[in-house]
Amino acid sequence: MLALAGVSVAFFALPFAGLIWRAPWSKVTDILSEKSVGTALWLSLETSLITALISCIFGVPLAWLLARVNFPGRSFVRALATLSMVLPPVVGGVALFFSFGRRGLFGQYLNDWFGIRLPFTTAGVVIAQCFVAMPFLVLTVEAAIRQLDSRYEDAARTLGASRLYVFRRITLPSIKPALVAGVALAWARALGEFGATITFAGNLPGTTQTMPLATYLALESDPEAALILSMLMITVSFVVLVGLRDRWLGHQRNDLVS
Amino acid sequence: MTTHFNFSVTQGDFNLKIDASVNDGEVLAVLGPNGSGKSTLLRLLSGLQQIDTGHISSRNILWDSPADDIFVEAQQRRVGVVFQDYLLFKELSAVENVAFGLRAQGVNKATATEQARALLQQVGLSEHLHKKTPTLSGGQAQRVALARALAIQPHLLLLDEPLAALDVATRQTVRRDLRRYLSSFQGAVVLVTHDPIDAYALADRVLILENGQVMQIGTLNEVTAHPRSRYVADLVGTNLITGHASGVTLTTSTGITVVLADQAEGDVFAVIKPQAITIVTSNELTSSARNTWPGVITDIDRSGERCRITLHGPLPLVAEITAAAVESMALRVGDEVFAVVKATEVEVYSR
Repeated sequence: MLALAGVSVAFFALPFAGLIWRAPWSKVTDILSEKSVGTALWLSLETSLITALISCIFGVPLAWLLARVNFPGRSFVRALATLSMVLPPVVGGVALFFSFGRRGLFGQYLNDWFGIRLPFTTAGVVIAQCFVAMPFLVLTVEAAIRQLDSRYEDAARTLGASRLYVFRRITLPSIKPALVAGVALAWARALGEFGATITFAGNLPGTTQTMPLATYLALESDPEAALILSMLMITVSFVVLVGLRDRWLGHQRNDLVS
Repeated sequence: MTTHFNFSVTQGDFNLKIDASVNDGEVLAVLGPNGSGKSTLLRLLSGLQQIDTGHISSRNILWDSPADDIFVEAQQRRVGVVFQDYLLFKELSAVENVAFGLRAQGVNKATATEQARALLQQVGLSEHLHKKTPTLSGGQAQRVALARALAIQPHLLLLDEPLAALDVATRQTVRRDLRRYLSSFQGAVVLVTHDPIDAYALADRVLILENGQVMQIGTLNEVTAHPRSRYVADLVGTNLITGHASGVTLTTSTGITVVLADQAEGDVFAVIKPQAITIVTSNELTSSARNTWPGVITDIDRSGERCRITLHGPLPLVAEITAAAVESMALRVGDEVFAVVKATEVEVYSR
């Protein structure tokens, strides 16, 4: 057993060892200070944070709906909302393109009526990221709401509290750790988004070229830069995961006390 | 002013059908075994669930009437609920819990806190205002829950097994306090319990609920004097016999005959108090008692100087005799004995 587990650990660790081994450490500052890298990094941070915010605003009500309101077709809606988690992101990008692209089913009206164009814009990057990242938040928050004893919400309602007030004062404080975890997961997923972004939003430096896209491109033109960019993203993701783990542990400690 | 409810609701193959009312200032206890529909009744009255047919109204305002397409949701009803395990909000202090309902209805924080503080003082908790509720004892939590429900000045107060979560030692004092708070409450009270002592201590009238149906409703004296089901008879601790009377003879469905003192006709109940039963070890003596039934002792339960003897036989009975008698007769579980009852001790009333 131990030997097999050791193989797994090695399997996860070795690729990073390879990266670290080959990374041109002497050129780190040069590459990171390059304008194109800075632009891609900034765009990635900007879009992924907006995605995290949007996922929170729309994903939490969806999670509440799935967890607390018994409506026909609920399992269908849940499957739909989480489909993009298991879909190849490229397929998601294609679907977005044919729906919200300029000639897409809905995109043409967005264009004709409101003059809104999503493909090949930063907004398109956010849409693509939301499409693949929001389910992580929805699932995490839904599970947390489901685990809450709904009788506390009943008790609040008998005291004259509206649904919104109950959610704000009772539900939300109880699911805070899960919400933080969900937002962080969605943000990390958005930060690493590649397939849907490049398919739907394209690869325009400064507008839609996020870090993963820049890394992929650099692999062909400048492999050393690709290595450094990869290291940078690994560092960010790793910090998020470690931070999350502390969150979860903190939550468990609270449970033991109460 | 009165709260009326006359409704029917079906969940799966369980049907709950109740027609009753509670006046302001009155406490109606709903007694029934587990699964009789007590909790569902509270959910319906509080507006957490809708009825199928019929109506619920409070002080001439319809709360629920499917025929009129009226359903007032829980947050709009003037109903205070004390839940079984209180359901105090864990993240909030005692005073924040009590102020919650006022805050939810838009009362500003200072006013709400002031009113909550006054209410907690009334229930004797002025020293624990800012304690987080998980640190309160059971009795304190119960009083916070009561203050929280009363804070919204409800027209109807619902209590769901308010003493069940407490240990025996605190239950008595909390029950006594609860009685005091309820007597000063202006609105109607519905108290759900499975403990007849709660009903004795707190209620003006009792509603017996079994299998979703009202078995009996009336004052405690009415219900206990003439139980109409085995459940009530067991609660009261008496023997209930159902059968058909003709002349001075009652015949049970299993064919046992009971001799009565007075003429009776038709389907009847008969009650024999446990104290009215004499236990004898032989039926060969001549006696003035008209009824003698054989039975095997299955249980001897001593409490103080009295013993309750459970007899298993054609007619299952509980007899109450002195501990001294049990000792001098050397009665033991498994002994075959006879229960002897005078016809004048059998009280008959129609079904």
